[in-house]
Amino acid sequence: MKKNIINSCAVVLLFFIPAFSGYFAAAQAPEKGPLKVSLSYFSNDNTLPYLTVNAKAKIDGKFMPVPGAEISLYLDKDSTGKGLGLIAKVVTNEKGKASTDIPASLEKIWKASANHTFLAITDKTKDYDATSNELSIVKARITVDTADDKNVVAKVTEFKDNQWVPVKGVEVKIGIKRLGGDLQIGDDQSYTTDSLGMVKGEFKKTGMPGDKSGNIILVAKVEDNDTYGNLRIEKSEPWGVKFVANADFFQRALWGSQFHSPFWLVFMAYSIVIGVWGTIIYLIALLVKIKKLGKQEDKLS
Amino acid sequence: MENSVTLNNEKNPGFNSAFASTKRKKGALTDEEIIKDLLPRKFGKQGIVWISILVLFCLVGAFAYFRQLKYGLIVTNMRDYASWGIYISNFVFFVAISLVGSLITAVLRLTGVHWSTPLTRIAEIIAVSAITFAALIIIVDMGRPERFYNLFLYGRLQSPIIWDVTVITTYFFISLLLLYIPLLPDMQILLASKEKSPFTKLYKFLGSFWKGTHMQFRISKKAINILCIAIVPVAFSIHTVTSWLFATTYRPGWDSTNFGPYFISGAFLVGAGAVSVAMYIFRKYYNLKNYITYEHFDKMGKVTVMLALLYMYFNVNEFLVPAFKMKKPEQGFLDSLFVGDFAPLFWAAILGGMIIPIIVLIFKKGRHPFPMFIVGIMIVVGAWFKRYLIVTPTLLHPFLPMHNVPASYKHYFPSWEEWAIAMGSLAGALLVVTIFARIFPIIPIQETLIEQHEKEHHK
Repeated sequence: MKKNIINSCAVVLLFFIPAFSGYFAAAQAPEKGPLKVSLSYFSNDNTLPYLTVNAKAKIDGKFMPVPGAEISLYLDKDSTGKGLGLIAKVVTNEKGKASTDIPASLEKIWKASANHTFLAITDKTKDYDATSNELSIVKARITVDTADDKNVVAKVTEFKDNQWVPVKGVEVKIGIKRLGGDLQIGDDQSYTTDSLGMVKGEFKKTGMPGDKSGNIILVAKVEDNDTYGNLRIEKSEPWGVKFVANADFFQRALWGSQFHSPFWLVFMAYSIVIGVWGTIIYLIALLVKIKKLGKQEDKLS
Repeated sequence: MENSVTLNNEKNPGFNSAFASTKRKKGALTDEEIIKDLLPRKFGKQGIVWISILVLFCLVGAFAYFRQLKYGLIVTNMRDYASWGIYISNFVFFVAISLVGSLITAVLRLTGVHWSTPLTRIAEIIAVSAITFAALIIIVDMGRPERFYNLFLYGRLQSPIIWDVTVITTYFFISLLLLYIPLLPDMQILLASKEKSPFTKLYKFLGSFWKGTHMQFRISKKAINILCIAIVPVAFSIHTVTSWLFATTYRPGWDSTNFGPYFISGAFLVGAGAVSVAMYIFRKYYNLKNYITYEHFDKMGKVTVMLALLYMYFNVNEFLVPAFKMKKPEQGFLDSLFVGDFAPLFWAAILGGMIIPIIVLIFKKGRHPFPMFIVGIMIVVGAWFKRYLIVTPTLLHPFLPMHNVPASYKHYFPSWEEWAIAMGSLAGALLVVTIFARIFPIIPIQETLIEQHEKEHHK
């Protein structure tokens, strides 16, 4: 009989377990391609530049980020082609990215030349072979200004012969900084600098929500330029609509905060809770009564 | 032959009925025999092995939870897609199974059904144990359980989660009272028993005040009647609110007005299945063949068929109507259930948890103890997987898929820690039932004696 029970239980479980395991087929080890490392150079507000490094590899035919990759970053190369000044050793995050500032200790090398090369080197690991990549840039900066007629003017200059000279033919984007990214100010996605290194864009996005004073942030940027990398500058202007907090949030509503539930809900919920817990308390009182009767019975006997 | 029990003793009817030396008609059991049969008894070898296995599962679960507390929810395989996993499936399962207390004890009692008397305590302890672990598993699902108190401090009345916390707490207390109050007369019998018990102090603490007076019986009967009425709406609320945790969100499969009755009917079915399994085990290992008879299995089987048919009706509504329309955003979810990754599990749960039990239980022989036991297991296991299917496939098929998420986010299989904690909680619930049966009579002694006397009296 016992055997019967065990066998029957096993049959019941076997009925469900294959169904369950069928869904979760064993995963095969993924096919991995070589590690690819790419570098990007950023200069925001013409201050301290920084680098980002991106590690990815082809896994099962798709490029996927490689987290945990250890990468050494160098500023410029010596005569043998090895890295000259160590910027930092970084480890990529779960998105396969890492970033670092150029440290003050490399100021001398940084100021010595207008052109620089950044070198990224990884050592051989159990998953990937050693790899390297480099990025060359020319030091440049971007400025932004506005005019009364709501025009935005940006200017790109590069460092050449110990002075900042305008650069012609650089693609510049002018936009408004928003939460999810930059919104273009006019009809054109981007503008190209003239011989003075300047571009001019007309601000057409009237009615944009700003802060409490109506300030919005204008942005001028150069993105992924082969020579200058990524340059970005911001400027605040009161061209937006003043933000007024919506007082409706504090009214009683289903989406309201803890103490702003609708009255009908408060009434219903508390009526039910009081009704049911009142009954429970009454039942406990009955129990107490039973206990008292028991004690009285003890005294009598 | 004459029955010498004095049932009409105003002062102490319970005591008299329990201990008077009785003689019965030929074939009938005497009071002493009934009491001896129903008193809790020490575990045998099998009991010790059973307890050891359960404790082992609980310890492994506790270790897994320790790891989860130490390293965080990252030890689970829940990610941004499947943010509710096996823990919430387990929670819904526990809430469902706890409804059996209201079915067997309250609904059947209120409708004047007497055959369920030997099953009431089994049903109630299953309910108390399941609702306790439902509450615990919710805390396990929290990444920062030490912040649990914030739920009470800052919980919004508009949130179904707050309704669930409130109704679970209420149901726990009502179930506990419904377990405790009918236990009081038995406590007197346990204290008066000649057999030495290591739990005498506990019996004294819990029920030494019960003297079995007429007044005490009257108040207790009144309390039980109030409880039976109160527990029905609370039981309906608990599972309706649990269904609203899903149905008030806009997701494929959950966006359904059918969810309340669908959950309640499923809960009654799994509860009936669990009671059938417990009936068989207690009958066999506690030698209760005189008390849990073929008739009980037969009637429980009929109730189970009715509940399975009812649950199937709501399943047809739940799946056939959306499948008929096959709205584009829901297609991925429905395909995964009917013919996709989850299809083997889905059809196994439908067949094993509903259709096969209905077919087996339609026949009289299918309602014998052993087939009922097997069908009970099938219903319970099927119900557990059904809860998994309610939670996971929906989360893996959102209306608005996230972009650029790792491929692993779109697939969910619980980590060993999740399995260990879930199995540990199931073992914990069984452990509570087992230990309860060791300490207290699993079949109400006093009520059995009274029913026996009434039968004799009618004869």
